[in-house]
Formats: sequence, C-alpha cells, structure tokens
Amino acid sequence: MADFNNFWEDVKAGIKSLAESNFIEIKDKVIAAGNEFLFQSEDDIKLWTVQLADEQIDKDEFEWLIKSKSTTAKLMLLKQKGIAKAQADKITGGILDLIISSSFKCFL
Amino acid sequence: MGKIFYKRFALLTFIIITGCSTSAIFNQKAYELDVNIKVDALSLMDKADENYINYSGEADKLKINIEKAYQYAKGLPGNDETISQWEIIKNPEENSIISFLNMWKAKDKLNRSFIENAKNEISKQFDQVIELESGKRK
Repeated sequence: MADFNNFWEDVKAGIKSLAESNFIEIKDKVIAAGNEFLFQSEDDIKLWTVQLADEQIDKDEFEWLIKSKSTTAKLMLLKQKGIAKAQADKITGGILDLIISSSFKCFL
Repeated sequence: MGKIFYKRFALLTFIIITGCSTSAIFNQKAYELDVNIKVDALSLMDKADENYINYSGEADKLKINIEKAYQYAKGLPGNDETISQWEIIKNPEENSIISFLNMWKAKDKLNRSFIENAKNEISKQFDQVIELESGKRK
C-alpha cells in the first residue's frame, strides 16, 4: 500500500499546484474542494488502483471510473441546491402562513 | 370595510407566497420514473460482460426512458436542478449511464470488476436524482 500512499500524496500535491497556477485568486477554495473530493473518493480509488495493477480492469475502465466521480459530484451539488431551495420555500411559507393566521386572529 | 380589507390582504399575501416559491413540488410520477430507470439501468449494466449486440434493444429502450424522464421533468415548474441533473445523465461526455453504454458498445464486453464498480457509481448518481425528488416540497 506504500505505492498508493505515494500516488495519493502526488495527487494532493498536483491539486495544490493546479490551484496555485490556474486559480490563484480562489486557490484556497480549490484546494479545499479538491481535498474534500479526494477524502470522499479515497476508498474507491484505492480499490480501483489495486484492480488496475491486477489487470482486473483496464486503463480505459480505470479512467472512466475516476471521471465518473466528477459526474457524481455534480449531481450531488445539484441535489443539495434543489433541496436547499425547497427548505427555504418551506421556511418562507411557514412564516407567511403564521402572518396570515395571526392577521385573522388579530383583525377579524 | 375592515374585514373585507384584511380578507383581501390575506388572499393577496397567499397569492404572493405561492407565486414567489421558486422550488419544485414533489411529483410522484417523476419519483417513480427515476426509481424505475435506476433499476432498469443497473439490471442492464449487470449484463455488460456479455455481447452488447444481444442487449442493444434494451439499451435503446433505456435511453428512450431517460429521455422521457427528462422531458417530463422539463414540464414541471421550478424544476431547474432536476432538469440539469438529467442533462448531465443524458450527456455522453459525462461518465454516467450513456457513456457506460457507449463504452460497452465499443468494446462489446466489459470486465466484471469494472461493471461492479460502475454500477456502484451510477447507483449513487441516480440516488442524487431520487433524493432530490423526495426532498422537494410536499
């Protein structure tokens, strides 16, 4: 597993380097997002590197799996955004319902 | 005079609340479409260690059902995030079910370990669509 640890450190260093060279103004956010992505994906990627080394999966399949993590992350972000909107509407609705019922009680 | 005014005020407020809601409402049919597509997709993926040609009909059917779910989602108000999710899943450049089917078609057969890994990932992807639908206002 020493090989995986070296590989993982290389990936982390690569994210830092990418952030510093291409996203200088938001580099801290990019590094944080990259590390979060790595943290969430580590177990799967560790398994896939073993399977690649054992030729249980080929290079194309390994690449496909790694990139699928990005697709999953995009879908997850959209879910979080949609649910946050629904919760905001629910809170707003609750407050306004309260205003209406209080209005009826006080003024009618 | 006072009562009529406040009734109108309350009615107007209610209309504004409803009109200002930006999020979609839970839709049972959309939820069922999502779940059925997930089950069909994973079931079809499970056969990807066999020749693609034997399952090309099922693959085409699955693509049509995904398109139906997308078109249905497009018809629902305030449904931007779900629409975007389907656009990602439909996109052959994204690594989701369509690109999996394209890879299967190109290689004719895929490795079992890859299939299991890909099923796990695509299952998570469909869960994002299903969980968003079930998280909408009811």
